[in-house]
Amino acid sequence: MADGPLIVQSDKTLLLEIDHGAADDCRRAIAAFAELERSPEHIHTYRLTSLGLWNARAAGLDAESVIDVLLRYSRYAVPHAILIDIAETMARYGRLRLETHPVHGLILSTTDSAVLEEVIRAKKVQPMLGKRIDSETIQVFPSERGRLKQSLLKLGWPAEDMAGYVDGQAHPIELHESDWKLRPYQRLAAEGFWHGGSGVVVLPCGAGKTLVGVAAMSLAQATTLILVTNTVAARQWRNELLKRTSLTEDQIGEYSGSKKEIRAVTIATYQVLTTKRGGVYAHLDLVDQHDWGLIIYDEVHLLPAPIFRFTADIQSRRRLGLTATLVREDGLEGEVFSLIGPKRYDVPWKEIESQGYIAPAECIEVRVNLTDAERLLYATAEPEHKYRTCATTRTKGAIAKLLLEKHKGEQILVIGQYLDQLDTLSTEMGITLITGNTPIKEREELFQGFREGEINALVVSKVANFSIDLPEATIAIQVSGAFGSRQEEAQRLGRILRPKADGRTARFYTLVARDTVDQDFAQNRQRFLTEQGYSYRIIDADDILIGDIEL
Amino acid sequence: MSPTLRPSRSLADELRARSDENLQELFSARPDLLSPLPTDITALAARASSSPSIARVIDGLNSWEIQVLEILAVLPQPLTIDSLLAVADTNAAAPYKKFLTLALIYVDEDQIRVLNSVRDTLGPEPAGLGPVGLGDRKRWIKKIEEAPASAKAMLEKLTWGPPRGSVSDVKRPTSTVSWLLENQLLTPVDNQTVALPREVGIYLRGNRVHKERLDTPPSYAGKALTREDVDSAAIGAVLEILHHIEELLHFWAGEPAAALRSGGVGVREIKRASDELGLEEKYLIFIAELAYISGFVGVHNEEEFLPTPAFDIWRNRTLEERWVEIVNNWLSTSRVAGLVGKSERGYIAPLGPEIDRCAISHLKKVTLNLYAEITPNAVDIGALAERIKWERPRKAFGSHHDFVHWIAREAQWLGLTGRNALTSFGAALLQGEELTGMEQLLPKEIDYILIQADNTAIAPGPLQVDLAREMSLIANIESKGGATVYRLSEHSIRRALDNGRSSEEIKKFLAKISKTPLPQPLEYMIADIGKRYGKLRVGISFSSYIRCEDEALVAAILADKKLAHLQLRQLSTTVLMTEGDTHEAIDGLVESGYFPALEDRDGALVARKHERARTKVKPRPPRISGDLATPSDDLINAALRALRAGDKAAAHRKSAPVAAGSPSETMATLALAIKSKATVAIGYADSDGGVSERVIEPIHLIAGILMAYDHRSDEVLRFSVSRISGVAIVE
Repeated sequence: MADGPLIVQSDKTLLLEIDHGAADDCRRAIAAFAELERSPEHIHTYRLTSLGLWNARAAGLDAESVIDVLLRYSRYAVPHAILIDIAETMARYGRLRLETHPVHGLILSTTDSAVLEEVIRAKKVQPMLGKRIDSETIQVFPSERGRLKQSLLKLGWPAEDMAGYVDGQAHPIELHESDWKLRPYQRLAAEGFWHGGSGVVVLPCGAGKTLVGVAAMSLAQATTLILVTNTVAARQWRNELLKRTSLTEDQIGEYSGSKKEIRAVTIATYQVLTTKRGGVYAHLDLVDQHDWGLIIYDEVHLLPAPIFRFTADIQSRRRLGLTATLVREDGLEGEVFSLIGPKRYDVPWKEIESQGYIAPAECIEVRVNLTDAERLLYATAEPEHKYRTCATTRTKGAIAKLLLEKHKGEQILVIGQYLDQLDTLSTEMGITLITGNTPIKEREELFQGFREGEINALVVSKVANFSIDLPEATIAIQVSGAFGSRQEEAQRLGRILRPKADGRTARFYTLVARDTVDQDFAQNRQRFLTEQGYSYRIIDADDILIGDIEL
Repeated sequence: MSPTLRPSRSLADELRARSDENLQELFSARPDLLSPLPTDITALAARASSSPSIARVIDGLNSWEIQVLEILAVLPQPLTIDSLLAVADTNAAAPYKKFLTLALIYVDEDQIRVLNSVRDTLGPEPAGLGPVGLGDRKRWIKKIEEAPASAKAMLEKLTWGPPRGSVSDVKRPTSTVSWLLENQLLTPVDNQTVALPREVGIYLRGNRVHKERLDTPPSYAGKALTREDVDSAAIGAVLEILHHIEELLHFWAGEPAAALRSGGVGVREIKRASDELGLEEKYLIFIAELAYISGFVGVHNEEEFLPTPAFDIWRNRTLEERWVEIVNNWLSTSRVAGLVGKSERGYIAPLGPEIDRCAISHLKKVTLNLYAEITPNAVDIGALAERIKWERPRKAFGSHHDFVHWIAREAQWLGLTGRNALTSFGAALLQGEELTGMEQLLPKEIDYILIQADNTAIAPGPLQVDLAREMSLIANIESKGGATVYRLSEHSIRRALDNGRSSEEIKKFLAKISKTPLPQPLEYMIADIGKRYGKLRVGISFSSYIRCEDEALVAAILADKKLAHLQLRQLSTTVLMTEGDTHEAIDGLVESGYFPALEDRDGALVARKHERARTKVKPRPPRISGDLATPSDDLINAALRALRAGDKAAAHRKSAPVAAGSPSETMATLALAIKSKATVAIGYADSDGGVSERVIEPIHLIAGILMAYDHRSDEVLRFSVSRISGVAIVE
């Protein structure tokens, strides 16, 4: 195509001009093999990675059709080296296969004995393998299935896992779609996962990831272990399951610090699983001693490292990861890929927003000035206290108050990092504060009150970052954050993205101290969302103080 | 044989008799004959039959031509076209004609004369055949039939060469060897060696010279493609390699590569650059070599490699000009980038000595001509290597396979070929056309960018040069290719301010060329940096100082542990002194996140340009090439006129004795000399086609053979009258 929407760069990025007439078709075609890296307003960037190409191979795409797509939509000549690289990379997938042999059990087989020779000579791989059956087959210790896949991936010869999954103990789970319906993308996501066997579904906050999990359970029809970040999230899942499925209260168990119930569907927190007693993980039995048919990982990007290690041991069970972002501040994206599975479904936030499934949002950065005294304090602060010093400026309190007044009558969350700052705000504005120390029961009551409109505003610490369903929050005011954490920013925005009954636009205020590291961190935090197509507007705190601005 | 009264022709005679066109053909095929220009045709003949010149011609022959030449060299006299075709094939006619044009052979009457230097060059055992034997043909043929089994076995062993065998002592041979020697089926070479005589060898080979006739060139055609497929695949490579050369040299300008004492660049430097630029090492070595052979990079102070001014000149040319220049340099260089790396003799460094191979540019020519023959279809590289081996069996390259693979790979990297086929613009360049037609294939230049909320700016096509230059000052390049992705950051905008731009100018420029509105946070960022920039000043009076009206900022700098190395002392609430120099101070401040500006003594801001490191040396490595350029028609014509004129002059100079006479004159003069016992000088054609002058005393003349005493060799010799070109009585 002489005037196609796609530009293939030599560094393997693909630039898609989204205002182009053929952009939609092109996006659908390339999504199968390229990873969406960022999607700001005009040009989306995708990247060709080995993982992405192998993923496409796993989904049945061959190199010829990938190359064909690139040539068809590309505006300029596609660098030849890339075409060669695609063909070579894709040819590496599936040379090795993990299969179940009727006599020998789990085996690694190949169509190319040279490749097998190469990998079995690798030191890391050797101890995972049993006896050689013939030149093209070798036995694999079933316990090493996950680690073998990890190692083979690192060697550049990813194995196709054809060994299948155990069904697990059957348990009927029906969806009760009476007053609600699965959204099309939720259904596609669940089906995409199911056909892939295992993997990760990436959906924006507020897009109903829980329902994707629920739909997956109804496909599995088996006992399910759900791993979540904290107890509040566990209760949220439980409520959702009761509301949307045929599951009854006595079929759902909670496995947390306070309760240790094991039922057909068990919801456990990451924390309890990673608790060590006498140097060993005390609750590991939960994962490997039960015949789960499906394991769901909520908020995969927060999965603690020990959970990866357990996950390597349960490769014969279906695994579904749910997340709003694959960005991990610790860079463990590769582990998620090899142990939970490849990404099975992904849609840009803006797309779901334009379909009306999440609320449109406006992001506003409010620049506040430090007082002269604060400036001097900031200038001479030790580097490790700098951020705290500027992020907790008193001016922010005044602005938050003003914003609160402006949006009186709406559901407002004030979110922050530092407890003393939040404490002050809570006292000054007369709003209840919820922190990690607030008893669960009390928290739930407050949230319930907020949900029902009895409470209009809450000040919350980072406990509110994840998995708390606050359907009618329309305004979030962020006063401080965890340094430059990009995923935190995304999660916090997610708090206000649930579609509003009156379709109104949500607002996300970030209060930032001018000319300080706060401003630098804010920029870093915003990067993820701008790459997702959100744009920020900057306003001056003084303008708000003077009342000289239309919000 | 009846006596011939005709004197033998020499090569000089043959050349002299050639038409102008015929000589022109010779000169363009053998340009070495013209440099330097011989004085006359005789000198030309001497040059043409000299071993180096002959070797050069033979190295350029293909397998089949070599075989035909070998056949000509081994067949017994008298050698005619019929006897050649009887042993070779009608396919030999074309090589035969070529040899005539090239003056490797010439025809005297109907006999083919093969120059002695051709025989020498082909070696003592052409086609694995032994020395010329002396035996009577009918007799040894009979003996072969009668030979005992052991003798037959031995003959069989020697038939297809090597034709030599070792014996412990020729004087005490075993019975078999002794029988073969007696019957002249073997001939002694030295005390320990016997050999199969040439004629016997040919007979035993079934009146053939070669086991396998190599008259069919191996096919090397690959996939069928269209011109568009090929060009569009290659044009991307063209853009990339030009860009990558610039990137590498910019990188080395900032962080020069250390030069090894033994010459060249070390492994670590290559790795560093390849990591930095994200390029494969082999490719990086190739572009480094390209830059080197083009004179874009050279050794500075024997310490490090830096770009040269030649690079800056090249950089400012059009894309097409840039490409043509580097490709031409590549075609003519004698350096082989593929040799870089580990070898038996240790590491061979890029940009160092040791990688010149004089045959490479010839090989490139041959290889690309083969591409051209089947363009736009692709070649099969493996088969191509086989074909090259057939085309130039005698060229010494080492491993044909490696060299051909390297050429194919490099041609692809250069964009001369795409998908293993020659591009249209590559073909045009090879034919020396000035316009390669590449310009039309290049994407159209654009004059706008798209700025997005994530502070990236994208030029969805090649940006106009001046805009691109300004953009790379204001923003960092994140991704390059058909489009360019720029990222605007605090750091990049600072850089622009350092280079004398104001934040207002930057904003205006971006607003002007962006098709999309500037995101508001970006405007804020530019304004913020502009505001902070220049507030903090670094200057020099007695020592360097830092000053700022903002006391809090000065306090912060003073308290900053990261700036301890500047040894700051407070002079007042707004001025600090530093022990370091201004640049150190500025760099330190920038690293710690401040926005210092340099000021002069009057307090005016000084633009702090990033210096461009360049070396002044003229580094272009010498070319070691065996190939001479084909001379132009004008040159050939001029040479031809000079030769003809020189020849005429020489004819006048020649003394009487060697002047050629008619056969009857020769006979008469000789008869007279015998009668009067006079001494005569004769011109005598030797088998090499040359004419030598001899002074002899004729004794008698029978059946075309003159017996005479030769003064030079001091003995009585036989002279064939037919080869006496002229005779004169010496007074």
